[in-house]
Amino acid sequence: MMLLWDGLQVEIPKGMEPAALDRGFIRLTGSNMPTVSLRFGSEKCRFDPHRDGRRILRAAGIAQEALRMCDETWTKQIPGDLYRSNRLWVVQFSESRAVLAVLFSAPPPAGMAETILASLAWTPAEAWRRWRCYDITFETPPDYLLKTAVFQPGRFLLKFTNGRSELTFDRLAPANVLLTGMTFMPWCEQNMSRNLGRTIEMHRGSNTEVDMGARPSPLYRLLPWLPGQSPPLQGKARHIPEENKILILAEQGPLLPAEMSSRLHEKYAIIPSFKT
Amino acid sequence: MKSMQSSPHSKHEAMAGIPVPHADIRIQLTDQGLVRISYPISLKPWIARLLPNRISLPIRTLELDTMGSFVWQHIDGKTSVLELSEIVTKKYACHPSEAEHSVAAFVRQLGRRGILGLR
Repeated sequence: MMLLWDGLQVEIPKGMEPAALDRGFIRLTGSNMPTVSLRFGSEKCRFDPHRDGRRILRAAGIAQEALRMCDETWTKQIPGDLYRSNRLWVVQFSESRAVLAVLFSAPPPAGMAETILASLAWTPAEAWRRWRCYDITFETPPDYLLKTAVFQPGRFLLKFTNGRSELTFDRLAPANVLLTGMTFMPWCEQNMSRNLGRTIEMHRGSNTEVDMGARPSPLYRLLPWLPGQSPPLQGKARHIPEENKILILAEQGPLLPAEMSSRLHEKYAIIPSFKT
Repeated sequence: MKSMQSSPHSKHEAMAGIPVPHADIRIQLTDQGLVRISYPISLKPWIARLLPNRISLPIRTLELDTMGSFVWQHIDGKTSVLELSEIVTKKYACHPSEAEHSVAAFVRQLGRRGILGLR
């Protein structure tokens, strides 16, 4: 399965799953397989395999190893230069100016490093980014950076910020347990204000869709930069009965233009392959 | 029966464990179909040894929610934690690892209260 996280695209080898997902970091684990840690980000200055490579090896606890250029046939698919030691691979994406370090907890079995490395692709923060993790998929507009990512059984919560604007992607499950006989609108009225931490006005879009909004406080209109205020809020909550999930997407702060906002809502979905 | 505190060597081993309810608990079904468990409080072994046999321990009651009641109804002394999580995945259309975490946490919680053990 393909994982799209914080600009990085990577194929998860069979039998593995993401154990930790954070800003510029992914850890994949699997039974009887070495743990794979991926650290990545935009290049602040040009990556130098000799100078920066030594630093990365030291940070990985394998200072005795050395990075060498890897130019085997399968590496041709990688959109950049590849350097490797026994357990550490470093990819320098040539066009998008980003660096990725892949560290295996033990020398990887045959094919594992190839599966991971040949699938890599990078999208910079200045472009629309696609995200695909566990059973959710969505897109974030340019310059929105991941602030928090919480994955708990029953609730996935991801927050992104761009200056004073904040995007919140919330996925709740199982919907039939949460709703317990209620229809969606009354459930939203009972829970959304508590979920978002402020009073929300709600309008029924359909039986499974509720539009949310909140006006900014008068003081916010005058002095929006003052902390602790209530900025404008708009969003949508959707009940997806066939997937038994509830998706909530909220924008707070200076709101996005209508076409960007509708793209956000359109792309936020459940990956149907997890349907049983 | 293994103590819930003794940690298995791997996630695979933990998921293969079979939860078994302790003999001294009482189960009731509420009007809403939820499971209510009455169980004696669990004591540290050294405290239990100091107490005379004729003293009966105070009873506590725990009411499970919808999902907890559903999982409990599938705990039959034959079904492993992994199989329970597969049942939950099917019933609630959960992500498999989400169901694994939920069921594992549920079994761990009940184990701490002395309601379940792992075989």
